[in-house]
Amino acid sequence: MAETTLNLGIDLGTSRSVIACDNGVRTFVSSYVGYPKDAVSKKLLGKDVVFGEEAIRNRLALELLRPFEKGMIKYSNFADKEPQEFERHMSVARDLLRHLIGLAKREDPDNVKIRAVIGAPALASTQNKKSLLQITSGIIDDVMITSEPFAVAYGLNLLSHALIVDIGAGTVDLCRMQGAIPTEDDQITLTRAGDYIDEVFLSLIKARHKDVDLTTNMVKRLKEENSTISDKGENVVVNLPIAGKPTPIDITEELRTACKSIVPDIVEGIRTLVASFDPEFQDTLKHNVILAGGGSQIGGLAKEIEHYMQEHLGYGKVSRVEEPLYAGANGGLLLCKDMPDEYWDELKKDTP
Amino acid sequence: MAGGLEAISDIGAYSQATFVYSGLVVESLVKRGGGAVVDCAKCSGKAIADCTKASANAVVEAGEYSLATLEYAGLVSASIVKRSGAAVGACARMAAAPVGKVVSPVARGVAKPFALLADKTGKVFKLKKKASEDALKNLETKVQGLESLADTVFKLEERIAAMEKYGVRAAVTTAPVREKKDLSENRRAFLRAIVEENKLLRAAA
Repeated sequence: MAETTLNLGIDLGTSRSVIACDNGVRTFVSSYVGYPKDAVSKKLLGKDVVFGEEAIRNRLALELLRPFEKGMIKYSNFADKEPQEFERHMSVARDLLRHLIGLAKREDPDNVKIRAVIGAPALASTQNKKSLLQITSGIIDDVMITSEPFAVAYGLNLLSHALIVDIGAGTVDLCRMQGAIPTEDDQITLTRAGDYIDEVFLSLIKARHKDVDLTTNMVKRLKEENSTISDKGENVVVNLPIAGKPTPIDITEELRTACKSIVPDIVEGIRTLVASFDPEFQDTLKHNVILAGGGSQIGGLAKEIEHYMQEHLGYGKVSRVEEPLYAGANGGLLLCKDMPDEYWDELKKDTP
Repeated sequence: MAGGLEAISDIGAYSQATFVYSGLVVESLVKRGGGAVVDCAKCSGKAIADCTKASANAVVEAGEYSLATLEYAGLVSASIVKRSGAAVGACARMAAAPVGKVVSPVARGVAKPFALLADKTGKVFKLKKKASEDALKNLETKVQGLESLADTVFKLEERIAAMEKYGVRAAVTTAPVREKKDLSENRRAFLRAIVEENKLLRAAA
């Protein structure tokens, strides 16, 4: 029987890992991996390793690990100084990737050939990208690494005169598309992203309500359920524990302030990329700013960035992709499918 | 009387529950018939003959009654199976119909046995109104057939549930035709650049 090929687009994010496949499967899993602490918890869970929301729910019985930080495998920049931690997180990242591929394969036969394009942050180092290649060994047959915002642009067919802003949990990646493969000068990576919003949000709530019992996970969930910058919506009132007693607290202002906290850095990044662009085409670029990534789902963020750009830069037109969470994985899948077989073979020949 | 006893002995071939009930009915009729005979013994000869004839007729009627009971039971069973078979056939036809639009040869092949089953189910257990001795003897065989048919229907329903859950996939019997990727020069250039980047990445120390 002829061998079938399964094409995948993968986005290994700090908060969520997303996969899109040409067998129609499209899914994501929270980038958490849990290992039972002892024999009792192993028996309770019935598994050696737990992923995603299940790991978060049972975190008290698990050693909970998050293998990615700022879009890359943790400790990949400190592989020499912390080799054991780096190896540990590499192994955890492999488990997560294997789980993600398992979700995608479903009913496909085991002998199917797997090809994938994986997105990496815009300015990920060579070491970061090599780490990503290493974790795919034995899991994916043919793999390529590409810049995540470029994958978004490719998937949307915006290969020129567009500025992609991919807002994740660990990084915000900006990429200027000018009809050629983007170089380092066309890309910026900011480290104040979704996780930074959570930190700001938590500190603002604690500053106002000193006795409130809150964790980062709780704050993240509150943000994802209620995030908005717009002042036209209803007030956000939630029950938070204060000395063990659930107490209704209005967190609207704290939430708005936290969500707005990443806007100045994003606008500064846009300004840098537009200013260094060919002046004849700067107008086209500044009126074609596209938001993608999970962070772009914050209500009113596109309008806020547009407003900030108009105030500080005198110009701006911002829109958001239809499926912000899947934009990167969709773009990776399209790249994978479009890549001619001879290019894959060429890469295989050159692989040591 | 002899004719009535013959009828009773035939009843012995029928299902146990019906037989017991029929037996009770028969017993009642015989008792009444027999009682009538005894009473009639005190009467004139003509009256005796009339009573005997009446009692024999009563027993024969008992036999016919038992036959009717069994026939009814058989008809009910046949009705249940027929309606189940028709429902399965209809569902299978409905399930196969949208699939048929996509892979009609496969769908037709899949639906055909269901359709045939639905058609034949109704015909298999048509019982004639007047149950003859042969029909009664065949009833037991048909009951066994009903049970195996119920098993088959159950398995088919499981298959339909699986088809509805996973969809119908045609088996790959020929090598898949590779679509030639029609890419613009611009796109090819992008892809070539990505390949070169990845080659450098793999070659890097």
